[in-house]
Amino acid sequence: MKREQGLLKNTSDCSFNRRTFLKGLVATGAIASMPAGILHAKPWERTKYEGGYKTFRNACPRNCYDTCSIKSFVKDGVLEFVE
Amino acid sequence: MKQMGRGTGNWKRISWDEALTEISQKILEIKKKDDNLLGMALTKYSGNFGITHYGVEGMMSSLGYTTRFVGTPCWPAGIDAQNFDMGNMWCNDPEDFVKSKYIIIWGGNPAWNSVHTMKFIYEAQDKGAKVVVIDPILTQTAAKADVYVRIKTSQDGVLALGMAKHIVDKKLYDKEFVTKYAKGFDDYLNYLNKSVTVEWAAKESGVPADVIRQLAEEFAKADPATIWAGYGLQRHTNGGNNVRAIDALVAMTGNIGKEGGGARYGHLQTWGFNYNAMVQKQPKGSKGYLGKDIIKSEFANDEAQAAAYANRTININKLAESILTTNEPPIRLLWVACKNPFAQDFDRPKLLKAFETLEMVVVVDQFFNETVQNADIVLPSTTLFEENTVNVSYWHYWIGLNEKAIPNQYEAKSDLQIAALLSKKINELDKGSCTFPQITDTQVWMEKEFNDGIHKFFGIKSWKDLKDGPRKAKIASSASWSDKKFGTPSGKYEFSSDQAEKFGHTKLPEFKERRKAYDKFRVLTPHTQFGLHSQFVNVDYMEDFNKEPYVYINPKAAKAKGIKEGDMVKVENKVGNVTVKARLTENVAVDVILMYEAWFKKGDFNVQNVVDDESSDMGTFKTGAPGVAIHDQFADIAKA
Amino acid sequence: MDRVKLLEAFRDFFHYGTLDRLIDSYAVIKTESNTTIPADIDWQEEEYTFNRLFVGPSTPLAPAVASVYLDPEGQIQGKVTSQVRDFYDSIGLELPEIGSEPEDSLAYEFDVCRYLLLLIKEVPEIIEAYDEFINEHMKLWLPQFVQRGLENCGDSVAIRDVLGLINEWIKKESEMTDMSKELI
Repeated sequence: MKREQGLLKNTSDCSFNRRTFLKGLVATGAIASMPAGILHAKPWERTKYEGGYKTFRNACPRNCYDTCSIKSFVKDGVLEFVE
Repeated sequence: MKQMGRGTGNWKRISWDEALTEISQKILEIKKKDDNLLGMALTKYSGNFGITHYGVEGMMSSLGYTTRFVGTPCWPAGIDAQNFDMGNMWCNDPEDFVKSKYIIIWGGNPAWNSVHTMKFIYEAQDKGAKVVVIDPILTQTAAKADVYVRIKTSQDGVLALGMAKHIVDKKLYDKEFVTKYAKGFDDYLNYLNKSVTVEWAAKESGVPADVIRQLAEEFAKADPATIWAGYGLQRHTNGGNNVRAIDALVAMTGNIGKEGGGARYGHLQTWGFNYNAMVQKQPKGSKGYLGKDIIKSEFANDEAQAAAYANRTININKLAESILTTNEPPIRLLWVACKNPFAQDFDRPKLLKAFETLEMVVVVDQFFNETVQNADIVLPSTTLFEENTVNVSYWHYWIGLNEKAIPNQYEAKSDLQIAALLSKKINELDKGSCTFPQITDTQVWMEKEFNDGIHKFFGIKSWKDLKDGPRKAKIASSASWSDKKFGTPSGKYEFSSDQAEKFGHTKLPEFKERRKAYDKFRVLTPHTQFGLHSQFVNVDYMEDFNKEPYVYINPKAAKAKGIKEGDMVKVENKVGNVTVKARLTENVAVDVILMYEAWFKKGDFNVQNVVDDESSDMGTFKTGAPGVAIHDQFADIAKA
Repeated sequence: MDRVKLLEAFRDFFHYGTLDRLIDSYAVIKTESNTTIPADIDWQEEEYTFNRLFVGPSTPLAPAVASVYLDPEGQIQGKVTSQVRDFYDSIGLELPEIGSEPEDSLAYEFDVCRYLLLLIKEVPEIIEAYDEFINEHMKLWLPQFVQRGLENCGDSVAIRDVLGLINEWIKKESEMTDMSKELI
C-alpha cells in the first residue's frame, strides 16, 4: 500500500496492512474493548504493566541542605511517580 | 526560542541549529571586535548543583578567556570566618545532633528550610537536650525550641562576645583546649576583659543580661554543646565577624572536634570530584585579561589558569552595577544558567537598566521566569529526570546518583548537551574556536567525575554501586576536627588570625559596628517555607498554600502608621518599592518589617526592589568576592 | 475538498510553528476548505500570537493537547495520553520517541486521522476506529480548545480563522461518521 510521509513512524518495518492492523486490534483489544470510547471509564489496565515500572535513582539538585534522594518510577517513557 | 525585543513577549520559534548559529556568530563577532572574548560573561549559581553542571564553566573556558561573575550570594562571609578560625569550613555530621546535650540554633530556620535535620534535633530533645533558638524573628524553629531568644538583627557577634565574657568571668572555658589546641586565646581573653561587659552586650544585642549569663553558663556546662550558625546571621556588613565570635564561643568551651558538639555551618568534604566537565582548555591563541584574577568557587577547585592571560572576574553580587560600569571591553553577551537574576539579584531596578545595555542575553532555564522575560534567546533545559549526574550536599555526608529516567521532554537539552552542540556549531563556523568535547551523552560526562578518592571515601568500587541507593561517606568520627589538627597556618584553632588581618579584618573576632540604618525600619527578606528562592514557588499546587505575598509588621509599629491587618501598603527605600498586603504579628520586633523572598508568577512582587548590593565583610578569601548584606536593608512603610 | 490534504495542512499548521510553515499550511487549509485568504494578515503578529497560545516559552494560553481539557487535573502524560498512545498502538503507530511529547498533541491526532482516512480505502472496518477517535475523543476536547484559543487570540485573523475551521471540521466529521456508521 502506498503511504504518505507522516509524522508518526511505523512500528513495524512491513507496511501498514490489514494483517498487522487486525493483529494490532486483537493484541490489545483496543477497539473492541472501547464501546464507550477511549475516554470513558475503561478500567486502568494495571495488569498490562504489572512489574512494568523501571525504577531510576535521582537526587534533588537544588541549592538546599538536603539533596533528597528520589526513586522515580517510569513506564513507557513516562515518569509516573516518585518516592 | 527567540524574543523580538526583550520583555515584549513576542517570541519566534527557532531550531537549535538556528539558535546556536546565532549565538556562535555573536561570539565570533565579539572576538573580532575586541580581539578577545571578555565581552562574553557568565552568571551561574545554584539552580542545579549536579556536578556535571560545572560543564557550563567549562564551556566558557573552552571558548576563550571570558568574564565570570564569581563569589556567592549565599554564605561567603561565614566560609571565610571558619577558614580564618579553623582552616576550613567543616561541620559535624548533622546526624550526630542526637549526641548533643545543648543545641543553639542561631540565625537559621531548619523547621522550614532543612526539615530532615529536625528529626535529629527532636531526637536529641527527646533525650533531654535543651534546644535554644536565637533569631530576630520568632520562626517555626523557635516555636519548637525550649527557649527562644530575640536578638537585634546582626548583633549576633555582640551576644557571642557577651556570653564569652561571662564564661571567662566564671572561668568556665576549657583550659586544655585553649592552651593545647588554640592560638591567641590570651589575646582574646584580654580583649574580652578590656572591651566587653555583659551589660554592654545586653544593651547592644537586646538580650537581657541575666539571659546572657544563663545561656553562657548552660552552654559552657553542657557536654557536648553545639551551635548551628545559620546563613542569615552572616548576610551583614559584620556577618563574617558574627560567625567568628560564635566559633570562638564553641572553641573556648572545648566543643570543637567533639561528637555532638561543633560550630556547624557547612562542609565540602564530599565534593572531591574531578570537575572534568569544568576544566577545559582555552582554544589556541586566545587572548584574555591581563590582570591576575583567579576564579574561586567554594565547591569546585580553582580553575587552572594559563600564565599569560586570565578570565576577568567580577563579584556575582554586583551584577547590575558591573554590567553598567565594566569597560574595555564592556559586557556584550550575557549567558545565564542555573540562576534567575531577576528574582534573586540585588537592586532590581538597576538590573533592568543594566540589561538594556547588553547586546545579547542567553538564558538556559526550565521555566519561564522573570529572567527569561528579559532574554533574547531562551534555551530550554532538561530537569533532573532527563540527565545523568551525581549529587552531594554541603551539609550531610551522603552521595546520590542521578539517573536519566525519561527522554528529554520536547526539545529540552541539558547544560552539557548545549555546550557540546555549541562547540560543534562554532567549530563549523570557525574551526578551532572551541575545545569543548562534542559528547552529548550525559552518562559519559557523569562517569568522568568519579575518581579513586571518591570511591574510597564512600566505600564504593564504581559509580554503579550507587544504583543500589545513596551512600554515606566513611568518616572516622561524626565530629569534624576530631584529631584537633586544624587547617590554619599554625595548625591550631586561631582565636587570633594573621590571615584575617591580611584580608583587612581584625585578628580577633572583635566587635564590629553593624551597618547604619538608612531608613526607618529594618527590612528582612528571608527564605519562604514554600520554595527555594524562586524555585517551586511557581508550581501550581504551591499557590494553594502560598496565594499572595505579605509584609509582616509588629502591631505597635502598624498602629503608629495607621495600618490595619489586610491593608495594602507600600514599602519604599532608596532602591525602589513594593506594594503588598500587610499582616500584623508579634513574631517580628517593632523596628523590623519582614517579607519572604519568592517569585510570584501572578504578580510583580519582588523583594529585590528594596534590597541593595552592599557587600558583607568577608568572602574574598575563599570564594573570590565578598558576600552581600541582604539583611542590612532598611525602608519606610505607608498605606498604599 | 480533499479530506486528507486538509488534515495534513491542519497538522502542519500546529506541528512546526515556524512562520513559513504557518503561512504555507494556512494557504492549503483555505484552498481545501474552499474559502479565500483575507488580505490584511499581519503574519508577524500571527506568529507571536501562535506562540503565546500554543508554544511558549511562557505557559501557553491554549495548549493544543487533549489532556489539558480531558484530564481531571489537566495533566499531560496521564491517563488520556496513555489511552491515545494505546489507540495509536492498536493500529500500529507510535511517536518517533516515546515519552518526549504527549501522543495526544493536536498535530499527532490530525496525523492519525489522516492515516485512518487512507487506511479506510484498504480496510473498510477502519471506519469504526475513525468514528471512535472522532466522536469519542477529538469531539470531546476540540470545541473547548477552540473556545479557549478564540478567547485568547486577540486581533489575530489567521489563527482565529483556523480555529473556526477546526470547529467546522470536527462537526462535519462527526456527522459524517455517524452517517457512514448507519451505512455499515
